[in-house]
Amino acid sequence: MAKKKSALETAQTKAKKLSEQTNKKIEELGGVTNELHKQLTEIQNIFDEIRGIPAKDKIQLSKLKKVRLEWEHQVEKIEADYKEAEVKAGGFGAAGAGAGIAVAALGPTVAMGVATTFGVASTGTAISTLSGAAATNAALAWLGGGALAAGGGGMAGGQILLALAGPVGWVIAGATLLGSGIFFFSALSDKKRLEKIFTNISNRDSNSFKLAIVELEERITRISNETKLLAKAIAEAKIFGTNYDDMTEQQQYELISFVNLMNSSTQLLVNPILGLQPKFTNVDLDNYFDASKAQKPSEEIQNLMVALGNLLYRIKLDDTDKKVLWKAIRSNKKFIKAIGIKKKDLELDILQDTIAALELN
Amino acid sequence: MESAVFLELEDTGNGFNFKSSIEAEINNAQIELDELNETIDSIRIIRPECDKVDYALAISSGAICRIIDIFLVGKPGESPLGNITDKWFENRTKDFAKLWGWSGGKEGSTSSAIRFLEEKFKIPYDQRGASDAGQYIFGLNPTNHHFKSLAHNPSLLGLFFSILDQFTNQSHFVTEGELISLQRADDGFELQGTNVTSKLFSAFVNWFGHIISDISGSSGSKGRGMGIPSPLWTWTNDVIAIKRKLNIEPSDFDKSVNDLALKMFNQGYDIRFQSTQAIPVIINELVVRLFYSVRRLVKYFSQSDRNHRSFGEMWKKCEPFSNATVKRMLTVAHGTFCLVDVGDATVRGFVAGGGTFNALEFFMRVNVVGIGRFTISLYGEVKREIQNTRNSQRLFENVREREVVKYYLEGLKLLSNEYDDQELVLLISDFSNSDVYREMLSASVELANKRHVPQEKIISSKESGDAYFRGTK
Repeated sequence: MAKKKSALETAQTKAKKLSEQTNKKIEELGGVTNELHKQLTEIQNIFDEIRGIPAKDKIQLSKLKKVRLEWEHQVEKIEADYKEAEVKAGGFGAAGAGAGIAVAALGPTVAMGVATTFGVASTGTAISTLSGAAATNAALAWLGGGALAAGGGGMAGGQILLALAGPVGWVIAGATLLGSGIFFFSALSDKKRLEKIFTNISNRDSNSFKLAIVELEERITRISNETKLLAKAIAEAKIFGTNYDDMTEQQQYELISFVNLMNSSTQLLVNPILGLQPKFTNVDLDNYFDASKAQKPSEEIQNLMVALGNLLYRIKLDDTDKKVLWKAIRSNKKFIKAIGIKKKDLELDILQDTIAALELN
Repeated sequence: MESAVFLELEDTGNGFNFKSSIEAEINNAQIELDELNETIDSIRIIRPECDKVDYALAISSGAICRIIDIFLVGKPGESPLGNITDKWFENRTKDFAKLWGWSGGKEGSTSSAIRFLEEKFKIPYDQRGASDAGQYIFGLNPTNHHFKSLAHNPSLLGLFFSILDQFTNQSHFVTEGELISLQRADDGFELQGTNVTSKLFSAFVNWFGHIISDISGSSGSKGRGMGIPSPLWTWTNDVIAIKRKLNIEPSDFDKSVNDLALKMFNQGYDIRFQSTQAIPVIINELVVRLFYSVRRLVKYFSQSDRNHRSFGEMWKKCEPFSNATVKRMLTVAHGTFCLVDVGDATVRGFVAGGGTFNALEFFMRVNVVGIGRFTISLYGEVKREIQNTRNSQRLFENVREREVVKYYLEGLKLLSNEYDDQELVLLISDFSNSDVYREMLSASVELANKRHVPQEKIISSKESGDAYFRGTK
């Protein structure tokens, strides 16, 4: 007998569908990045040739190419980390074929899509406050979360990926980890309250995914457009010859504009997708402790606070909500075990401080 | 506008696809936000806006009315207001008799009017327990038969038994915990009417007319006479009658309450006295509503601009009926009234009992109408409070939902700004056009800025471009 779905189940199903759609878009994104990457390399070579950069200056050259290289590196790292998790989990990749990206072996296309989605750290990236490691962690957490959501043989690998991802990973897994046990021990009135909170969280997540999908679409469109544009620019630049001083003024202007275009298009590979960015990081937490001049807690608790901050970002809670939520978190043995903090150290202040830190941002 | 043209371009000559889904999503999210805002605005939390003066006035009114109650209502027999009410009821009885053709005129005696009505509205259940069929019923006598005879009770059950008795020529009494029916009660009685409907109608009219005839006592009674019992106490008969019909033994409590009600009736606690009790309660009610209106009226005139006054607006500000503030004031006023009332009645109960509690004295003194009115107020307060709690929850949930939608909308607006670059890309892609190459450079710089290209990597002028390609010297 089909039971009528509760509001929470409906919201969760919606969020899950949207996350699957996001995954498809990420893969699509990965599919177009490679071609752009090729064009970018080619036009860079043309510029190098015009500039007549000798082999001995290769070091400086690679510095200029740094951003693109970082992207390449990021793709490789994601592939490598994923493989490692796969090996550790005893080859979960084969078991869950077709159940989502994270379970099927991670192809280079997906790795590229994921790398772009979660961004590559580069100096002066205003949109991102992530360090390089954080971006990788977010990417791994996403993949791990996908594996967990897909269930089956992929779950062990998902757990390992999440463990690799650190506190950000708990956020992705948060709903799964918390959701599994949180409603079990609670009183009916508490349960209703928790259901409302988690429905709201699911709705927030849905909106994050929707934001990501919208942005991914825009990104994909731009990447395809600019790949074509770069191809034309390459053809045009080839006509100019290799001697800058022989060119007409218009050609010189065009060439300079192409440099700017190349750099702008490169950002399409490295700027992160807004909707999937972690909303609360260690940096935000540090800011809070600096501002409040309070004693910093242990690293484990800080990590927990980051996870909570992401879980509760833009979620309104009244005082009873806070108490009930904290009680539920404290009584979730699986979660406590996963974060490695003793139950007696889990004081309500942790939640209160996290909320205060969220309000500060 | 030119930019608008660029945004709408779906397929340019270059084969570019610039269709944007951001704007559409912004519209959707905005609609969702508007709907939530509308819901939030529609949720009303109704709180009384009484100030200290309002409360003070309400308490004073309650206390003053209770003083009226103590000195002017008191208990049956020693009640100045009661005498006025008795007279009023007598006059109404005469009016009613005149309506049916009584020719007593203004000077005609009440007993003549009552006798006229008794003749007019003949019923079979008027046994008094002395020298008639009722004498066989234990405990029935002329002073209590209005209470014991169910058909004399001004209640729904009383009406039912009256009609039943008239159709079947019976007479029902509740006495000492028993329901007793007298068969062939009055051989001379015949219910008028040709069919069931008309008989039902005339039975109803008889019941009502007979009650009016008895309301100021019987034709033969001396002094105040025994009126009709108060409906607030005849329910004690109903309990016993219903239980007996259902073959349930009435409990001792039922019997003792019934006994108490009977004793009260015997001391003159009838529908006339009950009405007297209502007087201070009504005064309390009117005074509070008046206080409320007058205060608001003064406020309205002192605060509103002379040229912009309107009756509609004034009424809205001053009407003392449909707002939580006046309702709260009434609760306080009636509450004060009851508090003093119950306190006074309790003390008198103990005094009359000589140290032990005398329930009869207590219930004779306590103002049941006031307690009833206070109960209604209290019920309203509780209902509003429950509604408010429920609405507060709804409000919170909607505000919570709105936050999530706001988050989405803010994100979309950020994206809309980040991805607002079609015009720039188009300008750059137009590189074969010899007229715009300078603009092309500035467009490329702007694009690089929009995409967050590190500043040191952006070539913002021809000179830096030259330097970039010629190599630093």
